[in-house]
Amino acid sequence: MKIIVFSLLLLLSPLSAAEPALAIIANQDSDYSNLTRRQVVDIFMGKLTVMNTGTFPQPLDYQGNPEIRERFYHLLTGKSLAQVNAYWARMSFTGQLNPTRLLNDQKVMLRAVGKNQAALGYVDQAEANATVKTLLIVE
Amino acid sequence: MRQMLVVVLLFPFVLLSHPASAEQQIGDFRFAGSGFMTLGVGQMLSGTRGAVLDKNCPCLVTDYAQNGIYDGSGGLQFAPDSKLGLQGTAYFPDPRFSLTAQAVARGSQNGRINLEWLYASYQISDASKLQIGRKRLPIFYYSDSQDIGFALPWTHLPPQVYGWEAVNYNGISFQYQTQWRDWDINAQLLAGREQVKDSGYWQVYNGQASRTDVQWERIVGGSVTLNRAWFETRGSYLQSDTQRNNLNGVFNSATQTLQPSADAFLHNRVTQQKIYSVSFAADLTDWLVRSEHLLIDRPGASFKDYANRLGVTRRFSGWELTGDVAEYHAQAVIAQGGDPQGQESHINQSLTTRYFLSPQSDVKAQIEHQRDRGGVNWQPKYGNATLLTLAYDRIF
Repeated sequence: MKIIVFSLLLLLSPLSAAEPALAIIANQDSDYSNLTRRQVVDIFMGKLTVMNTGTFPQPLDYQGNPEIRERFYHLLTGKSLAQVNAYWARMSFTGQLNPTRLLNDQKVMLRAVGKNQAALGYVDQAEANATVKTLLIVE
Repeated sequence: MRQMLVVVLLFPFVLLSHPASAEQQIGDFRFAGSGFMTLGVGQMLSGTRGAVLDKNCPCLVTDYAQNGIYDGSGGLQFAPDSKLGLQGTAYFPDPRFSLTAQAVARGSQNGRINLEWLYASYQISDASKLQIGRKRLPIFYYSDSQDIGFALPWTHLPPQVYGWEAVNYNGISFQYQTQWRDWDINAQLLAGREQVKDSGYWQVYNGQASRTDVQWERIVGGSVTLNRAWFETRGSYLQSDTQRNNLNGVFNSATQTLQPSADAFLHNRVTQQKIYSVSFAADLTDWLVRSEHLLIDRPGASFKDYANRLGVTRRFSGWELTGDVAEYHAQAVIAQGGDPQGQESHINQSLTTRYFLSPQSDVKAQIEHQRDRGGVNWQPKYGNATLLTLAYDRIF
């Protein structure tokens, strides 16, 4: 009986392992300076479309349902990828926002951000290199 | 039966499709395709039994504009909530231009394919956009996304609030996004007109065999959404001239035939309407509370429409639970000859569970009870109904 109760408690208890940190990245020559979490959320949810500097941010995201995408939205919004997709379904099927450009993986992300001064992306903190500028660490 | 066949035929195609929008580059043009679907099924559990117009009740109208009605015919009913939508967007070499089309096939319309959206978009700046063509009227909070089950917490919209004769318009709209201090502001202005052939809304009130065309002219309006952290509020105003033309009479329950209607408002009388709506939302990550409030005023008419709803959603890991209360009532305008006992009124309470199967799909189960509070002189009186609905939603 004790084993069953213990097993159930294990199943019901939330996973406490910390999620690996993510780096919010931009082009080295861009005029983005440090971003707040709120600004990053607003940019990736299509609510912040022009920066104080006059730059129109172009958020880049990942194709499909990779773990990094799930982690990104969970860390920043507390919502699951399905809930974020439900929000985007409302926006993109109704002409309110154009869908974010989707890329295949982190290498493609680093290359795309490295070529575009308005682009904003995210990669694992360990993947961020000198070809891009790290604006914020999300953990 | 035909509508069920359409849904069944299209269902495997949707399941096999890639769970992300497809893109194709042809020269300097980029084409993006995506879609959404809902396979809905309902079973009437109980309610007021009897014939209402040409329906065998208990009955619950889930979509007034599209004539979506669950009735007492028994068995599982697939038609009222099932739909499939496909959207294509062409992006031009000049990134400011795009062209979008969206077609939707609904079970409630016997699988007939309707072009719901067809508009050209011009991005004036990243903050402002001009769109010309066919779009959705932004009367209510979920108006734009009313067909996209995956964007909704219910198996269908609360019909008390989301029930009017036209949902689209042909015209022009201007959208503007900005920030002021901590507020995100999204504003929209629009102008246009709309013509509805064989209105589903009027089939609900005048019988399934009746034919009524609706015309809205000189539509002018707009909406403003303010968002700050967890709080959001939205207000909209719309006005137009309205005109209906009943082509073959209305259903007479006593004679079981279509009889000419004496109602001048069904015979091309032009009236004006003013639609006011406001909504409030608190999104606290695990909790979402949203209310909506509607008033339709028709100067010179014998009644005004009021609708309200309040919903609470609790988000859990991978699933959601939503409780919702929505009510509609018409209020007689005595000075215009309105009969206080001849007004429509009903309230709907629903409980919905939603489980996300994947980031692009979900299943929902919803039980709802609708209570008819219409006056003794109100007709058609659809009565009370308790309905169980299940839905599978997917975007692709």
